[in-house]
Amino acid sequence: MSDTVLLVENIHKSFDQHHAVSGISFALEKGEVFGLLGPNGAGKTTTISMLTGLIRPDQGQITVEGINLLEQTNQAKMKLGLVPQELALYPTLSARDNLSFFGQIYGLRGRHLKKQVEQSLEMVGLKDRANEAIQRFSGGMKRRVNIAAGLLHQPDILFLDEPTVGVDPQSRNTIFESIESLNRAGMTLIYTTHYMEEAQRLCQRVAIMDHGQIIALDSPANLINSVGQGLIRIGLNNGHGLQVQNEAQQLVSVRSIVRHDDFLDVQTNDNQAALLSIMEIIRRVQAKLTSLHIMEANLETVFLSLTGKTLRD
Amino acid sequence: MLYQIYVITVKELKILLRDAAALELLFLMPIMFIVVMTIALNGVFDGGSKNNPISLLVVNADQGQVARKVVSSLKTVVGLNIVETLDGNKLTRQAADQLIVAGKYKVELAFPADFSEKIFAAGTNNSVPAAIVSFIVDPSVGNSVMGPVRGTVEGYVQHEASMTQAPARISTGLNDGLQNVPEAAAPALKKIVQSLTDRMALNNTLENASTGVRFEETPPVGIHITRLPNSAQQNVPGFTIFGVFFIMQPLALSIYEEKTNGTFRRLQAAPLSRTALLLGKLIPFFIINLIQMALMLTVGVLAFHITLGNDPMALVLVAVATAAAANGMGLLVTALAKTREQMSGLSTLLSVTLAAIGGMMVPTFIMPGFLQVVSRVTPHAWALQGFQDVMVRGMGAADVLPEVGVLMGFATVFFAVALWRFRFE
Repeated sequence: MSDTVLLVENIHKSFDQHHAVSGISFALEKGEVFGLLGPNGAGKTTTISMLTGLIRPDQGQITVEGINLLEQTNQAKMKLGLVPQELALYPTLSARDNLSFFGQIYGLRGRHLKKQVEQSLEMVGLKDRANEAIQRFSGGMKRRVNIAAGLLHQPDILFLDEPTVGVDPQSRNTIFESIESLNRAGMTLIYTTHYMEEAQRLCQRVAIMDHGQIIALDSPANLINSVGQGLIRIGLNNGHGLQVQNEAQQLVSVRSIVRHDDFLDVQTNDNQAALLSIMEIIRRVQAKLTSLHIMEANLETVFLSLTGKTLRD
Repeated sequence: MLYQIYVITVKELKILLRDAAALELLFLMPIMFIVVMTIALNGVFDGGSKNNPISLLVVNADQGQVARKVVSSLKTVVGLNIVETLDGNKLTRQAADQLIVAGKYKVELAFPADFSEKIFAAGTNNSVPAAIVSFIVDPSVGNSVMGPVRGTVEGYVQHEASMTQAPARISTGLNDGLQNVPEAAAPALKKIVQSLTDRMALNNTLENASTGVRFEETPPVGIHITRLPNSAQQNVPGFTIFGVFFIMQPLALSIYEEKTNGTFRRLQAAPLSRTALLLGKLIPFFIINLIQMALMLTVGVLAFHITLGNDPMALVLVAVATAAAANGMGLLVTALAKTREQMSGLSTLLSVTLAAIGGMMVPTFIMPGFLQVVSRVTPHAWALQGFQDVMVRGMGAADVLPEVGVLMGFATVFFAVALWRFRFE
């Protein structure tokens, strides 16, 4: 029996001629923490909006545990939970009142509602301040209530859209611990972020997005391995880039070289060996070195190697 | 410090200028108000003038000539438009009353068949029954309008009655005096003069000499009220409706807040239909409207002793339909305006302008003709007519169904357009 809980097939979405999402496909397994990593404007929030039924894709299919989201929307939505990027709470109501309201919207009633509200407050560590108005909370506390509101109805799949934006480090850690705890309890999560360290820490698989498309999808370890030991970015001028690239490509210690304007991104099997050899090439062809960055292998360098820009660009 | 004030001022102006639509509304609102109120109020100050005469239905059943002379005189009055015929036929009481009940005219003047007969009789005998001149008035017409009309008509009637009775009074006076002629001439002559002047009432006792005319004011047949309305009875419905339509702004801003604080997005991710979402937002404001109306009418009853008509169900129907139209318009504002400033400006503009055009501040029947037509395209005018039909004209539920139907029609159109333009994202 398939453990696929979410199947996304070739979804597209455009707004006024701008293609926000172009042909995204992936399958989510039960109990997985799946990351969507990409810079601002990559299409992560639009993707999440489609997967949670907020907007309809222009084309494509979304299936939630065998239920077509586009045709049996409300039925599918009962299995989904959303923690939106913005703080979607009523500021003048208390934490308890906010959670009770959202629980009731999902059909929770009576003792079951009360129990879920109390458990959610306990989980996010806000039980002692449950009766205070949200507007009196710190940003981190509001974020925690924001998460609790997405969990009340015990969804099978929880979407978290950049849940740590603007959060202090202590609250951030609390959020991470909550997510890890939820996953240990069997919940499936989709986590969007533009912080690669969050994706590396939390996600079993990461889809790297840019310009509305998934440009790489694998476990963080495999993605990082694809850039070998890391990335050396070499800045050159006086027009010798192509010659250096062609010669360096022959080196055993070099896995691949991508040339962007005035710099070369070099993926290596051995940083030190590759660096020494490339410096020799530069000296011999009398190219002028303008900059040199050695980047360890991580998701940031993966993104850089694929797109030529950083996650924060 | 001055520089900082300057910098903040410039920043605020930049922000304001970025919302051109809100600025336009801010300037458009007072302009609209001035234009609309000036044109509408023109009727108040110009009502009963050459440019804007008040129409007066005249039903002359008098067998004699006195009423005809009065009507002829009234036709020369600038500011009165005398209407004696309908489709070429002389007006009857029934036809004229129906015109008033239908709202096509507001005032009717009726002379009974024995008017001239009684006028003549009163010239020689003070104990004959009075000749009655009837003003049949739509109860919603205020005294500020009726007063001058009534005063003018009474003046001409009294004048004509006096002139009609003068020969009889002189003759009677002379006869009485001549009976004393055989006695000493001087005293007799004095008695003649005294008798004559008494009859003619020339010694500032005119007010004591009755012409035998009595004026009465009644509603037309078809309008059942136990007493004529006071000014509060006429004004409270208008101000109530004025207040009800102010619901647009809080309603629009509530939905706007829901969108901007992100909860709208969270609710759309829930298994919740858009219909349920919007209805859930609208129902509280609908309830507030109903409570508003109940409260204002209660204040009217307790503080100003107004009556609420003869049919509570009719009142409820009109109130519910008015609230539906107001909420529909509020949702429309939400759909059309994109910023908080636009919502505030548009809802205020609509509230005030439509209230003025709809007759909340000035009766529509004294507005210029084109504005009377325009007023029929406002829910306010229909709501006012509905409330006045019940509270002022004593009509029942069946009678107000047309107004209720039109108000619900407005509500339907507003909701339909709002849902078509509403952005859920």
